[in-house]
Amino acid sequence: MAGMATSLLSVRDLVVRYPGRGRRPGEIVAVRGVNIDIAPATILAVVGESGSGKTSLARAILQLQPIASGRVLLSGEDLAALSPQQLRAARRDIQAVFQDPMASLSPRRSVLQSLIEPLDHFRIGAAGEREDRAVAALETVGLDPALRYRLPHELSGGQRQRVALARALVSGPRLIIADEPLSSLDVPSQVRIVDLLLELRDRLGVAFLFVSHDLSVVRRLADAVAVMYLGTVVETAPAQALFAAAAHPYTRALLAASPAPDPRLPRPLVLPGEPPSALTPTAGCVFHKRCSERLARCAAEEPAQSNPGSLEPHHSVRCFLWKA
Amino acid sequence: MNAPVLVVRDLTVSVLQDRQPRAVVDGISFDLAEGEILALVGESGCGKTKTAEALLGLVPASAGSVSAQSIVLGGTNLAALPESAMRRVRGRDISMVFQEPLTALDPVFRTGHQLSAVFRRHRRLGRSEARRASLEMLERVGFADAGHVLRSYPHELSGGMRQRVVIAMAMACRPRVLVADEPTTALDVTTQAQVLTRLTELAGEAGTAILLITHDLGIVAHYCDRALIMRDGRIVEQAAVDQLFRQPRHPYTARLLAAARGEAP
Amino acid sequence: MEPEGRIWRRLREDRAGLAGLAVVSLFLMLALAVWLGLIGQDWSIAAGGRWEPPSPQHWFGTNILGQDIFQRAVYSVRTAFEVGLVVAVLSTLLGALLGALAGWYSHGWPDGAILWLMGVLDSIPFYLFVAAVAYALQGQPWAMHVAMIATFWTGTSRLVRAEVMKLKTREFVMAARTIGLPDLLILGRHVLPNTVHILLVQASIAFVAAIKTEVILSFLGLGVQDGVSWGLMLAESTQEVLAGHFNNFLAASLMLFVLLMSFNLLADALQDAFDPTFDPKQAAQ
Repeated sequence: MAGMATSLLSVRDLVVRYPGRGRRPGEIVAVRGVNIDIAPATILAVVGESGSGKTSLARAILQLQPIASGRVLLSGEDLAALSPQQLRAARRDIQAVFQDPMASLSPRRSVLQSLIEPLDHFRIGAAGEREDRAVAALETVGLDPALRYRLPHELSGGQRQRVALARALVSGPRLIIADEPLSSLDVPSQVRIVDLLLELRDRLGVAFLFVSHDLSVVRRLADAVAVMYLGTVVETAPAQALFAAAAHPYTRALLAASPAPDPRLPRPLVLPGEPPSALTPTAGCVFHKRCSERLARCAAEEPAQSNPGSLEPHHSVRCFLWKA
Repeated sequence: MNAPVLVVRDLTVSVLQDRQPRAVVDGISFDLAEGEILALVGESGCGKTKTAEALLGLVPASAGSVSAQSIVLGGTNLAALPESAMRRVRGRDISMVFQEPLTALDPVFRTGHQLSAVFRRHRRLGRSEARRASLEMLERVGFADAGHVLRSYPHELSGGMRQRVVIAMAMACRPRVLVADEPTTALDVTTQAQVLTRLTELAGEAGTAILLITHDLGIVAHYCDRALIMRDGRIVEQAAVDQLFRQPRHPYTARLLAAARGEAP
Repeated sequence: MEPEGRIWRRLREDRAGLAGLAVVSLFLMLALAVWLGLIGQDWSIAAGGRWEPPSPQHWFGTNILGQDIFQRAVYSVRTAFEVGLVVAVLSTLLGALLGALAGWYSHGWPDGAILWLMGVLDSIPFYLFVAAVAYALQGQPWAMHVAMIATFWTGTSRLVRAEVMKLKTREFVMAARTIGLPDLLILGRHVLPNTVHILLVQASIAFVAAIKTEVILSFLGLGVQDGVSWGLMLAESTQEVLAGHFNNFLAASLMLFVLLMSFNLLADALQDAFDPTFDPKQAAQ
């Protein structure tokens, strides 16, 4: 894992809790002590299924969700410790793209208005030239500037998501948090947006935290992958290492369950049991109840994150099977 | 290939767009063999969902007009049936599983009630018999605690669980044909594997043929026998799955395969 | 095309709406003309004999006091607009503001307080409330306006609150917060404009309701104090109708009906024109 000194974003022991309400008196721990690092101009994919806490993690990093404990460090600065003015300035550096572009663009604001808003708010450039910057952002994401007066519902899904990306880029951020940005697009559009993200990384040096449940996309896009299950990061590795030799049983189950478009490969394996519910906390390892390789101690203790010698340098896993 | 259980000839669905009629499904024809799992593949907007709705007679007149030379299910031409007769056929001989598990179930009724309703309507079972049949059906879709699911309201269940309940309802009467419209698109990949495995097992036991609508070629590769590739309302290729992946004949098919493999389109 | 041009273009395609707009505009001009002192000024003088039939001097004839019915009917247009617009605009604005605050801070104390207030106001029988306000304001001409505004806002507020609660979880609000925009700015710029379709409907309902309520209040003697309105005319006409004289009744009811009907048509068209996702051609099929 990249050392803290060179990381653009460092998350340390992050815990996010949701208070209980009404019929659910107990509180839900959505994120339990997560550590991740993102190096500049790299793409970290955070992979998990529903209930994994990946979306809560993304929101907490963006300071949209209160953090119970832990730190989020952007270039070494703890975002939670900043004053409101400092945080406001820091937000220029860390922007977001959300899942449903139809819902993430204000329905009554034209493309141009949505793009100019962050420029006005951050007071970037002279007022007269902001429209030019907005147009430049549109061109960067491959859209025709003539679209700038359109309303969101007059664009296709792929176009909307490009507008959302342009809006995230217009303030010149070094990190973009993308929360399932491809889920509402059809496959050809997904492929094009993935290419665009790679280009942005290479050309503009933008880093991405890419939250997704779609492993095939992650395989093409990510430099590094963190796999989450029930609020915990169970494995982190460079992308190639993860796909070639996944260490954690959950990661392996996830890879085995994904149907590859080739009938000659084996059929997807079914992971038994129901998906996790954060309402009923488990003792021991978060995954042990569904793990086919569990040991006796997995039910009692929670394994720590470790980077055993048998794995590559930046490949860490939380599993007793890999005790160093 | 077995004898066809569903024969569709020249099915057209047209809607009004800018006051002009447009065929979103343009005179397609295909056969579905007994017990077969046939994939209907295409990108969004190609007409696959409208095809499914047309087969079940679910296209309201205000949305579009449906015409077909024939839609023959086990000897009956569905295209010629009045709505009252179609209602008897739906659920019993041909049923459908929709994409969105959130909205497929009525939120104000317990799932047990909804599942029993299918048995009581089509198999004319009494209340306790229907309940027993519902319990058994839920176990067959893989629920360890079927009683709990029976008593639960839809919002108390996860998406995958809801979808399995919907499958239980669709398969309750062992229909000859099940139309599944993107049944796992909204689900996690591990849940998807579970749902599709259960679905194909159940269909195999009951002899039900499945028309599986999807855009995911991975699903086609591992769960389907044959595939229809649809584009702009027309079927551009029909082939057995092995053949399709090895040697696609139509350039559009080749493009879809390339995109699925992550190659540039 | 700029967003504003779009709304105008939509409106032009709705025939019923245009008809409504035309009639309402006509009435509005009448109201302005009265207000400017150009016509309808002789509504209170006894210009003729009792119950005269329609004639070139008195187009609708005269009422029991010899007043010109036409003059009174025209003056009432001004009254109707004044009451309707004041109550509609102010009650909708008040409802929008309080509803937005309640929705944004839902389950917090502002929400609790506003909901409590709404509950209290809705529990008071309306006409008792109006009477109480009228009494408290001792015959001030705007007593009835205040009473209506104070009760009409709750309906709007409830709807806006629900809509805001829904909208604030939408991703575009999250996107705005990601940029770091302050809450109230997000509320005003992104959230409230998406409730305009609700506000328009509520305002038009309030306009119509205000005019109709004024009719009833006039029957109770709590309505217009310093002028004439259709309500007052209708109240007067109850006696006249028994004696077989219908002119007063007909004039007032006809004008009332035409204005309210046209206004409803216009309001429907406006609501559709403002909805960014509505396609008029598709709906026409």
